[in-house]
Amino acid sequence: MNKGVYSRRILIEAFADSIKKLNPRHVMGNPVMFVVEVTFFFALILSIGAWIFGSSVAVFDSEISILLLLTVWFSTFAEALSEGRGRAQAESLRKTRKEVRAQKIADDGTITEVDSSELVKGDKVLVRAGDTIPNDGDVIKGSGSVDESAITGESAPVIRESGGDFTSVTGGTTLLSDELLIEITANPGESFLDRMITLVEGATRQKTPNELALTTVLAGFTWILTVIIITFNTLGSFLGVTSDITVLYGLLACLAPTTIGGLLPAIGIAGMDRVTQFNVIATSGRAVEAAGDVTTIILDKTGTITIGNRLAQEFIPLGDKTEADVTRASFLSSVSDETPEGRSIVALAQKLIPDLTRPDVKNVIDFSASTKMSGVDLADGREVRKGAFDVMSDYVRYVPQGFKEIIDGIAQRGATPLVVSVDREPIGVIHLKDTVKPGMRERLQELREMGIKTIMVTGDNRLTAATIAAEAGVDDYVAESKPEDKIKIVEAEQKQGKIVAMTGDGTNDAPALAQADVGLAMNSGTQAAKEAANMIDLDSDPTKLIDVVGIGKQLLMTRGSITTFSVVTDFAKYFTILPAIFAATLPAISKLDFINLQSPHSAILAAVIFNTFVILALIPLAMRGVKYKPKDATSTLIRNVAVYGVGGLLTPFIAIKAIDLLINYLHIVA
Amino acid sequence: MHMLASQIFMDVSSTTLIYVAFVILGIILVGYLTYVLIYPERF
Repeated sequence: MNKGVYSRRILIEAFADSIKKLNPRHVMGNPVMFVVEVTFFFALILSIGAWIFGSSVAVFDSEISILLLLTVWFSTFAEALSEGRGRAQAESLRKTRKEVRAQKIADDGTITEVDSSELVKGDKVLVRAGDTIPNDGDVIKGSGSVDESAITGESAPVIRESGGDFTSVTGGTTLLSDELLIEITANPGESFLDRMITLVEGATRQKTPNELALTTVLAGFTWILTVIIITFNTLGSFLGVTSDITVLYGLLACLAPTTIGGLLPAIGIAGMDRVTQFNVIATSGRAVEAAGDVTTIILDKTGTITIGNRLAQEFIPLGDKTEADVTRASFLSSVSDETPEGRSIVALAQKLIPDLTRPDVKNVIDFSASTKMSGVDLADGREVRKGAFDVMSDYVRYVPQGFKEIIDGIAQRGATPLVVSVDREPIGVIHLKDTVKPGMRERLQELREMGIKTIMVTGDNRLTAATIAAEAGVDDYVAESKPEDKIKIVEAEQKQGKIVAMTGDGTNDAPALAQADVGLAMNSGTQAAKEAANMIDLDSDPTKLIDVVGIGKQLLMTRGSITTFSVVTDFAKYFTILPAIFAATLPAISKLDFINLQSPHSAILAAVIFNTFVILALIPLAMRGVKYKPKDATSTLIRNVAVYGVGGLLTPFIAIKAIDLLINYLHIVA
Repeated sequence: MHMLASQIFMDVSSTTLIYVAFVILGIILVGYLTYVLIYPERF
């Protein structure tokens, strides 16, 4: 998929789509633009009449008409452009959704071959290695590795198995090994892929609460302006002040909040699209917006704040052994251990004693549930083993003094002790610990600067929780919590008026995910969790919640900044259009025109040109979002007011003056 | 008839008829905007 904002294909499609969107029935959904479009039709009729009957204002009327049409068109173009990117993604997803033959199992055990589109909720299918999974479902028997790259883009296969939290499979993915019995959980057309396609295409897009509120304000603003404009000449005639109709609708288009009105749909769609680019599917724009308002984030300890794999921290010698002895023994015990734990032991040993060399291994003893230990038999006859204390204390020839105390000390800190022995002689203990992800502390610090409270939830004991909490720098932690406690934490925060975001993947996370304002479910999680959440992370990386919050904030800021800009630019238009209207009747008012525009008509034309083309100029900003750095609300506000407020105040004066000079130079003003 | 029409369009801006049309259109727009304000969720 081409991710460029202005890829040629997307531009061409957006061009065609934006013309279709000029249909008044579509524009009606955007009050500001609808008023401009209706004014355009009126202006067009007047222009045609003026040309037919040779009026002196024919050229000016036509120019204003064209500009009014351009204003609406730039708005529909921005919308079409933002939708185009979602459509490109939907297309690539649609390719994934292919018709396959499925092995349906009847209640009596007979297998019939059916089309995947014939499968309904509750049907049971058998999927063998190499088959495409026909539709969404839960694994009810068996386990196997599944290639989900068609959906997630991640090439590493994932394990799906019956029972537990990894039962959910998605239609369109491929089973790589083993055999699975799957119960279908979606009817045709309602699968995860179908829903994703609908979502990214924006077919069911509804205005979010914030969009609704802003639309109401903009409609109210336009309402007042329209009333002023239509009563202008009637009331003005009492004072001897009337204006040309062309000037009046030019005034309406200029003073109506067209910049934000025109870009509002595009900003919302682009915000959702940015979330999608992160491989996160938001079920609604409302969810993305809520992410921007989040004040509390609940994070799991394992896998989110910490790596989730235990890594070697130190080697503790036993009895009369030295640290070098236990380092060497630990190294030997793990040379053939390919687990993350084993590799971390080798890495730590090599760091402490750089000249360690790989021994000749005669036999590798893999970890198994029954022996609970692993190790190697070396060519020189030595037997090196490592394992949990309970099995190793029986395995070793003697238990040295202080052994139990060392083990308990490590366990109390929430870490895991592993005992190492050579020829059944206990050498020392490996201290394995779950570590905080690199960069996590900085990210949590960023959240704090944004004014967001972080709560770490863990099933570990208080001591471990406190250690990790301090190490990562979370604001608060809940230790010894059961998964079902999460909903209580969410509710407690919400009672204090907080907007809560959380992640989850298990079925017992579902109620809390539904209760939270932003619930991000992992794609690897259960169907129940995915149904309850309002966002799904296809990469199943819970840390992404922090990025999603950033995107939500950026969306709200973009909308706020362009609204500020849109309203503030009106200020300059007063100084250009009002003197032009009153030039004939109230000459004294021309002092307001301090930028000294050439003529009333050129002033109005320049203002309308600025008003129209500023929409086009701001499309990239609406699509990309305003520059966003995690900072506290006040300094972000000050920065944005300085850039978009002051910028909106000064830019139009400079631009209108420049346009005025240009149109007079080119003689395009009547 | 043609004469009348020409007169009307000779000076478009000051023609009362066009102004009346403009006001009627404006009232329709105000009506539409009022509807948007009452039922924003329908748009």
